[in-house]
Amino acid sequence: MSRFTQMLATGYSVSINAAEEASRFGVPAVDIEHVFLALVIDDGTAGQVLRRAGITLDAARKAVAEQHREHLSSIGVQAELPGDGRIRFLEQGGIDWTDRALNLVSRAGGKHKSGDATAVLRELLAEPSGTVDELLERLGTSADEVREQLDEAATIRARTAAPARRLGRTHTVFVPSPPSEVWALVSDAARLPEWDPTLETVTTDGELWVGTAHTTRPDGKPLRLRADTARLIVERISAADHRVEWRFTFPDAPGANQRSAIVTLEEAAGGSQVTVDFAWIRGSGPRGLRRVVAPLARLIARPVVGIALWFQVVNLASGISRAMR
Amino acid sequence: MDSTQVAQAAADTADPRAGLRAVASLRTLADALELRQVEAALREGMTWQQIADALGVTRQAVHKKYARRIDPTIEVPRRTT
Repeated sequence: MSRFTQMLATGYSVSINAAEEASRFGVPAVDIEHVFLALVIDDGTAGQVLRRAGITLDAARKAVAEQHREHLSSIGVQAELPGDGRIRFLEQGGIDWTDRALNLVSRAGGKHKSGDATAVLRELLAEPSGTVDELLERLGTSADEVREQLDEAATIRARTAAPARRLGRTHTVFVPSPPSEVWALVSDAARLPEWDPTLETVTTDGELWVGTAHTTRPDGKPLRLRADTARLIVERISAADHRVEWRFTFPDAPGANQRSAIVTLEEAAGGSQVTVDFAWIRGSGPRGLRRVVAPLARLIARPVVGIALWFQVVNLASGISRAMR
Repeated sequence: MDSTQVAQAAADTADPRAGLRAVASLRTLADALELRQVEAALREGMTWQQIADALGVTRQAVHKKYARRIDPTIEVPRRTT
């Protein structure tokens, strides 16, 4: 991935994770403490530095809740934030950002700054309200300590992702559960709908696994979908040593591209590093006259295909992370 | 703590730095509670207009703020007039 797409992918997962954390607390806007929680499960340097300082997602969530509780009780209010600890489905635009959280994230992408999760963490450490300082103290560390660790880590060259397949993209996330638990999720066909957001059900007739795609959004509105791709065959090509390869084919649309997803797990401090390698494998393609113009159409569509692939791989990886939180 | 004590504690200005941050937490709590109550009201079948009246704002304001934020499984009343 180029630096720009990596930055885009990181920004996208950080903001989704932050919004999901906010929704768990039942608050309608993402604030800086939710950005902090999102960084605790970041797969890059920022997350690694925080986790090396002994911060787990559970401990960080508790610290956020405790901090609110204590602030409120200092002015005589005995109350908890009303969230039920469940991540809610978030409609596009369904959650707001507070001004300070939004400003902080855009500052991280400012001139001479990388805009990645590390830059966001640096902004958080310099945040003037004291919220993050206090959180870090509750978690047994301090802003200065984390900053030092970041400076140290900056000298280590970032691991570059393995080259993606043709018509494919790779994305890595950190998941706060041990590889054995993540493996039980990602290697089981029946559990695919828990993390592949496009699948509604996966059932078996004894030999084949058959999946159905969602035809409505979670709020009941119909999804625009090709009718002949609503049913798909799910095959597990291989599964060993914490690496599983899934293949999805569309029996009603032989010309359509097949989808392939390879999920690889590695042990990481406090959880697992999960890499999703997602690719389209060309089907037989269109017939007749459309076949003649297909190469040109592909050339024109190339940028759009890139974005679509990127979107799908990030959604799969986020799906695994969400299912384990 | 009864309401008089709450008022006293909230009005304690000995440590304004802590006091200000506590007020920020209070605002977050108020926002979260408002969302929760709006959802409960819609589930009970109240209209946007009734919710707006109770909150003391316009129907447009409450709809704009919450239409996309509420739990998507809630059946939202359509305006009949």
